[in-house]
Parts: sequence; structure tokens; C-alpha cells
Amino acid sequence: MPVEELNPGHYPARRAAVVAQHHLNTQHGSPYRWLLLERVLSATLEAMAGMGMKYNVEFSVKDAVTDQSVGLCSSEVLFPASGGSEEQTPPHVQSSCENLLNSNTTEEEKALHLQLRGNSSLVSGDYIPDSFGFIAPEMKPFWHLAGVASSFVMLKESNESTLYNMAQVANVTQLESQNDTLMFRYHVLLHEMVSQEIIHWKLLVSWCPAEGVKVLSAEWQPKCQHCVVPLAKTTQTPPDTSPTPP
Amino acid sequence: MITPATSYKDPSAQHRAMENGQQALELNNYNYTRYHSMDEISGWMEQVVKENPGLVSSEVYGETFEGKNITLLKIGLDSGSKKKAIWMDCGIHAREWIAPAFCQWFIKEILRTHKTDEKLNLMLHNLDIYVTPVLNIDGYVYSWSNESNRLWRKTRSCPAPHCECYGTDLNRNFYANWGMVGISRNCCSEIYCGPNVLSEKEAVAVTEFVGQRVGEILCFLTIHSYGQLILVPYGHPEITAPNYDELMQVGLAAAQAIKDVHGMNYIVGTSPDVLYPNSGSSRDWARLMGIPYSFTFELRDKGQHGFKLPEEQIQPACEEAYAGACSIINYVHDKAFNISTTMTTTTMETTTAPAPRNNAALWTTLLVSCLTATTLL
Repeated sequence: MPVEELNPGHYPARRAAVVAQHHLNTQHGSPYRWLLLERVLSATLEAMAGMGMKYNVEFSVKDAVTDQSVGLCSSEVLFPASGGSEEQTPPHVQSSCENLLNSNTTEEEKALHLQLRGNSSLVSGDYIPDSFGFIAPEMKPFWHLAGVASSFVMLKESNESTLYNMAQVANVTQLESQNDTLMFRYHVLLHEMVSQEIIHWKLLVSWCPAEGVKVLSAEWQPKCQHCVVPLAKTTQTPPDTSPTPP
Repeated sequence: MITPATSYKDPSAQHRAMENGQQALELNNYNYTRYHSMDEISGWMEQVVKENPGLVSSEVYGETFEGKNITLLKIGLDSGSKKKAIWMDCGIHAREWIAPAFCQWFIKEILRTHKTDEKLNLMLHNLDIYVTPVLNIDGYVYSWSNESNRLWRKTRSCPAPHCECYGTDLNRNFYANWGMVGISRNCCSEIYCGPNVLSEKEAVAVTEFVGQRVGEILCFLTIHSYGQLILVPYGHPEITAPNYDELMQVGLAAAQAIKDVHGMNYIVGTSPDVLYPNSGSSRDWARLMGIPYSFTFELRDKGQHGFKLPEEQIQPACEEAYAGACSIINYVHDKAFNISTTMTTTTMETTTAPAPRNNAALWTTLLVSCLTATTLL
């Protein structure tokens, strides 16, 4: 199959790059590192017989926490052939980046972790950001963590016909935990650009500086009682989310 | 110290409430770097008209499903002769709050600069600018009603008998390949195109007002968020605008003007190229009706904050979008009124466009001659 050059400004390239962005967050995200696609530099597409559609994208990445450009990444994103099934099959992603982890967030993470372990009460919050886009400064790490955790779901839910962003944290609640690993229950609202739907998920998220962010369970929430669109699913995300090479 | 957000009060909320109570409709005190409720915007519109006689007038040109007046502001100076016009609407989708904020900013900037900016002054003698700050008023009011309704997109029309969800996507409801691509027939979908074309009173209002002025309106601008895009017709992937090449050049010049302000990148293209295919949009309808320049702006950002663009970004987002809109309006004005600029020279080069677009180039050339002829008459 020939390799097709894609216009980096066109949607196929951008959708693939956003999938790669979600993958990077599952690998490197933390309450102090939330990676976002900045700009697609180049992209190619290759139809792989029997396997699916393989995109190669080069793009720049920014860290939403510092609003600084943090490096260039090159990713291979394979959307597996559905084989005629309606089931969502998660894409396979492999990435390599330059300079990405040069920004050291260890100290901030340790400090936040220590603070949360030592708090007499558990953290909770609603509507982050509020209707006016405002986020209380001390809640920002929990917004970033939600963005990273949402990327686990958005990665699994993505295909060539989707473009996902996190729209809002409806609620975050810190749970009691017995060890160093902090636990949070999140209700997040995702915006899917193509359908323009706001999709609700409830996530159980764990975090500690040594282990990073994990999504222990993710449960899709129906939009409303009377309008269940055929997207309903509950997925269990295994702790190890590294992709199987295609 | 981490404080639970439930007990945290946004300090700006209190400030906002005080401001709104005190400002008592003094335009000088109006804060353009905050989001405003429909009541505040309506009050602001009345005040703009009151304080700018001979320049700004208002017109009610329709009503919403819930019976609220849809009002536009008409900005222009009396020239004693027949004028051309520019259309701009904001807030066709309720949750895109930066759009109404931009329409207000756009008018504020014109009012602030028209006396000193000679070019703008000339344009206001040649053109009337029709601006609808909020088109989907019912939806906008609903999105303000409480935090869980903030992300409402559609109108608030009652569900069809077979369905239990409110509202139609206004930007899928216009008479432009209605119901064909990028739409849903499920009334619970966010891109529900409505039970039939122009089922929504808001879409009818625009269709009637603009439809009666097709010869007058040169340019149709419809303001949305988010994504940082400038979209040109058409949303249907199988149809190409006859002046596609020129629309792209004008759009790319606007994107450059935007970038020059704060360095933000905007992507320019048809919706099926850069976003997704869709039919029934007002932009496509305007172009199909014969309005030569029709663009959708998708303002900041690219997804980090999405519809909830922080208020501190209202100013930079509006400054850059203002530069983009002015770039387009300048071009359209200069071409219609035979003012030679570098852009018009560029346009003439479309005759060397690649084969599939040759008819577009021809059309462009014809348009130029038509406009010249009209002006001579």
C-alpha cells in the first residue's frame, strides 16, 4: 500500500495526533504534567492490509501546567481494522519524543503528595473549571490529574471518527487510602468534537509520585434516563496500559 | 494548604455581581473582559444605540422559540447612497460563550476607533454592518441558568412527539443540503438537524432577514468556538464553492492577521478538510444564496479549556479575532468599491489555479467584472 502524505492542518492528521497526545499522558502524565498537542508538523497515512490504518505523525507538544512548549514527538498510531464490528477497538500507539521529560516535576509532586497524605480532611471539588473558566489555584493539580486520567479513557475510545477533549471535572473526591497511593473518584465530562456530545465518565484514579497515574476503573454514564445512545459500555482499565505493538 | 473547592468561592463572582449592579448601563464602565448574561447584553445593546445616534440602530428581526426578541445592531454612517453590508452573528451555539463576548468587543472597537481610523470611517460610509450578538438566545439563557446546563448547545424547542429531548442544532437547520452529512436524525443528538429544514424560528429569522438582502450583503461571518479555525464553504465534501481559491486566500490572510496579534495559529479550510463534513450550516446557506464571502470563525482555544475559555483570555482572543475579521472586511470592501490593494492583485493570480479549480478562477474573474460593472452603473 502506498504511503499518503497528509496535510498537517487537515483533520485526519490532527485526530491521529490527539490520540498520540492521550497516549503520552497515559505514559508521562501527573498532576504537574499534562501534555497537549500544540501543532502537527507532518503526517502520513498507510492502509495496512488486514490490520487497519497506520498514521505517522510528527508534532510539537506543550505542557498545560506551565503553558510551555516541551518538545517534539513522533508517533505511530494504528487504528485497527474493525472487521465490520461495531465494537470500539482502541488504537495502538508508539511514540518517541525529544526533550519531553526535561522538565522535572518531582519536587512539586512530592510536595503535593506529602500535603495530601498529611491533610486531616480529604479533598473534594465540583465544577472545575466553573462556568466562567475559573479554577481556584489550589484545585489546578486536580484538574490536570483529571485531564491525564481522562486521556486513558479518550485513548481507548478514539477511532478515526472521533476527536476527544476533556470539557470539565464535574466532581472530584479524594478517597481514604491505606498506603502511599492516593485514590480519587472523578466524574468527568468529555467533549467529542465530531458528534458534539458531552460524555460523562466516572473514574477511579490512583496516583503516587513513584507509580504515576493509573485509572483503575472507568464507567460510562448514560447522558440521561430517556436518551441512551448506543455507546453504553463499562471498561476496566488494567493497571498496565502500555500498548501491544501492532 | 489545599482547600476543598466546594467551600471555595470565586472572588471574581462577587466582583461580577457588584459590577453588574453598579454599572447601570454606562458604556464606559462595561467590562468587555467578562462574560455577560443575556439581560446584561440586552441592556448593553440599548445603551449602545442610545449613545451613538446616527451610527448605531437596532432592529428586531425575529423571535426565538420561547418568544424572546432576536435583535441586531446596525452600524453605519449615512452616505446618502445605496450601501453594501456585512453580516455577523454570534452565539448560534449556546455554550460557546466567547462568541457573544466577541460580538460585543467587535462593536466596542468600531465605536472606539471609527472617528480616528480613516479607513474604518470610509468603510462605514460604504457599508452597514449587521451584528447579532446572541442568536440562540433561549439556549444562551439556559446555559447561564446553572452550572450543569453550561454546556448546552442547541435551541430549546420542544421535542417532536416521538422523542424526549429538547432542541435542534441551529447550525444544521439551514437550507443548505439539509439533512445530508454530519447531522443526526435523533433528536437527542447534539447535531440533530431538526424535524424539517428551517424548523427553528431562529434559523427562519436569519434566512428571512439575510435572504431579503442578498444583493446588499457582501460578506457573512458567523462566530463560534472552539478550535482556532477559519472555515470556508462548503460543509458538503462533494461541493466546491466557485470562488474557493479566493475564499482560501482571504481566509489565510485573516489567519495571518490573527497570528500577528498574539502569535496564535488558526487553520483555514473547508469544514470537511479541517474539521468534519456537515450540512445545513448558515455559512453554507449564505454562500449558496449568492453571498460571495462566507466564513465561520472557530475562536480559542484548541481544547485545553474548550467552551470554558477563562475570562482572562477574552481580551487576547477578541483582539486577534478582531484583526482577522477586519482583514476580511477590508478585503471585501476594497474589492467591492474598487480600491486597489495588494490582496486584489493576488486574487487575479487565481487564473493560474490548477485544472480542477479553473472554473473557480473564471468565476472570480467574472465576479470582478460584475462588480466593476455595477460600480460603473
